[in-house]
Amino acid sequence: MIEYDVDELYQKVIERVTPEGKLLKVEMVGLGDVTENVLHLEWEKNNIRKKVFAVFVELTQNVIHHSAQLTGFKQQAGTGVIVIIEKKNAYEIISGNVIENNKVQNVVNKCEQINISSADQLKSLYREQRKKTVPLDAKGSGLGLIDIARKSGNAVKATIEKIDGNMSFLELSVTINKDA
Amino acid sequence: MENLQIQKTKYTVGVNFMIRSGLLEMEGASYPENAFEFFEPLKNWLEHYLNVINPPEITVNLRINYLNTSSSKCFYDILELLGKYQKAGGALQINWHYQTDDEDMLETGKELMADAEVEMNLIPY
Repeated sequence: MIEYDVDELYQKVIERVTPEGKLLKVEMVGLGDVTENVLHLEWEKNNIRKKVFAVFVELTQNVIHHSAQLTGFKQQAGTGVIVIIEKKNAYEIISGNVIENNKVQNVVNKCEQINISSADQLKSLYREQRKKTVPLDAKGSGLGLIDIARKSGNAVKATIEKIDGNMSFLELSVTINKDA
Repeated sequence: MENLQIQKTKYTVGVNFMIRSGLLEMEGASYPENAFEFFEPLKNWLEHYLNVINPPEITVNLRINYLNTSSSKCFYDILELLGKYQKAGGALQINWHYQTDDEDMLETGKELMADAEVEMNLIPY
């Protein structure tokens, strides 16, 4: 398998970041201490802080569980980057990681479904999904993206860049408005 | 069977399941790397406790300030288990404690109660 340099992943994400944004945190997501440096944002309103935190946690879990690039003890944890950018009126949180091409369509479809749903529909979607029995080999509950959309109140933007016949680079981007 | 006690960490709830007193408590925030792995032994302990030990009276105290999505799924599964026990006539009381201004955790408690079909007292602190 081709190894992708984490710095290179980070650069890919940064290239897309607009200059108006102030970079708050770049997390190299690896095993164990992923949220050791959890964002505090002491100056920010409580509810916004909680939203940013929740989206950060869910995107991090996505990377750990779904990145095709593994690292750490027994090569069990996915690698990728999480970037948080403070803009004038919003926070933008971005995850970047490598995924297998055959998983791309599933992510794109999920985002599409979520992005056309109203707040009430997202709520029902979340509650119905939570009732479902999780398959034995599943690493997540299938709730992450729905929760991200619920918390942010905005679309979950998926950008895919094909690397080769097997792998693609997936970037998920979410905006949380400061007046939310 | 032994009491189940787990120290609280930044990512995982503190657990205090006491066999004799029937007092089962969880407290803190939950967003471990693998929630299913963390909660699996808790579910197994509870299943055994409810079905085999079948104690005369159980009080569950939950004082949670954050659940990530996979932890929320695990809480759903645990509460569903407790709800079935209640429905079968088991003496089991659940208290969902939430911080007075924490609307998220109040809402989470209400949703879990409705979805997992379980009776809980929603108590602000």
